[in-house]
Amino acid sequence: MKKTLLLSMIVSCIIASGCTTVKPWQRGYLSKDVMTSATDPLGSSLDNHIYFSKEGSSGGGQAAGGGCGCN
Amino acid sequence: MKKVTALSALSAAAMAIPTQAEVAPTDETFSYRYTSYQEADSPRERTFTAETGRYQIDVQQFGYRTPIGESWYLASELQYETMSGASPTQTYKNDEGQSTLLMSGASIEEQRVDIKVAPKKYFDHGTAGGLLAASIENDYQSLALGLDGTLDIFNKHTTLIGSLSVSNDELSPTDPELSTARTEADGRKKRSFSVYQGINQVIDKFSTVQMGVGYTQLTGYLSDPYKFKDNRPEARDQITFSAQHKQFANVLDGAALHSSYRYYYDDWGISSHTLDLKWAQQFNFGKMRLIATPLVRYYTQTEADFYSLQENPQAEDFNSSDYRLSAYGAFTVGFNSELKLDKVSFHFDWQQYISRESLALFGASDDEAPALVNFSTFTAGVDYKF
Repeated sequence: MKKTLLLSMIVSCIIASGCTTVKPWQRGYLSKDVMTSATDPLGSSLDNHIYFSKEGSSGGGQAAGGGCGCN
Repeated sequence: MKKVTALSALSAAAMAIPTQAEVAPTDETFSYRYTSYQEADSPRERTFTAETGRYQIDVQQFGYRTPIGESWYLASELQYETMSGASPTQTYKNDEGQSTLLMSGASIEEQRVDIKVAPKKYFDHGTAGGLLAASIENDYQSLALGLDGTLDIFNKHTTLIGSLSVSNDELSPTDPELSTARTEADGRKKRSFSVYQGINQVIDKFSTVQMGVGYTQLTGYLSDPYKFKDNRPEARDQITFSAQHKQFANVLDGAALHSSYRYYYDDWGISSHTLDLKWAQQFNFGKMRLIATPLVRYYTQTEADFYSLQENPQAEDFNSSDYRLSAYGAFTVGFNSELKLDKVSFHFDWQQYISRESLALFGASDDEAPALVNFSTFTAGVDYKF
């Protein structure tokens, strides 16, 4: 786990080095509804549960929940 | 019966992750959604049995989210489904080399209740959350527990994300005396262990990116007792690599492109690629705002090592003709809409899913898989902020 955390830190440092410094008051666009509303919790939960039930692979944090049988 | 219900909740836990450094939400919200899910009939010319109608599911979702004190937030969800229809039990090649589909004779009628509760604590530089999820059906019980956390670093430009979860499911097939498979499955368990680790990065004031790796281990009874000649290994290791990108665009009243990609592989021989694109477009009409989101998704997978269309495989060999283990590709097109008023938002969503052997990008087979599913969903719902 420690190695993974260290690896994450290193990767994030590399990514961060290529990014712009964005002050807290400059993050208005990042919190706009269009940046967040496309991930409606209930809608995503159901969509991903359907894919989860009907496809041969799943996971990867692409949400899930809800249902339709595996039948 | 659902084979993977608890795992759904685990993925949900991984998704309950921020897209950038979070602050504790202050809204108390009640949500309701009604969704009609309808599968297209199986092709009559490839279906041996008279029954060609497939699943129809009515889904009702109730969501309640509320702050607790200044730094806690509780998200909960109750889902109730009523399902009816027939399902594929086997696909095999007949003497002419054509794939033939057997469907369950009688229409299945069943219900499912799914409950999720997820508290989260917000700190100055991160979050810590939990998840309890349970799913109850007459032939399948599922319980899942999860933990997730985030840590903001580099002045909150970077967020480290981690989640861990376990699930324990128990099978109790209806009419276990009807087949050896059902008898053997009765009382059997299925367990999972899942871990996800990711990084979210603010690229500039218009965009963020998130990358992650996930691992899931499944053990126990992983076959489907309702299918014929279905004998799968009792362990499965799954790995995913995923990335999501969000880009704000100054188009009309504001828009954003949401794109994501996932690569998956497991030790059953399946690998898959998933690409998702959504364009969220806002329109302002006085005090009303409409967010219209067209979307497209492409999915392709290779087949499992033991997928086969043999009519009578050796009993001791691993074997399954489940279309979910075949090589195929699938497209989803859809349109989500949200109309926001002062305290109330209305949702109307539509999606169409089409899967075909010929849409497979890799490992396509000449064998037909007539059980591949096509479905559509229609959703109407409302959110109310107190």
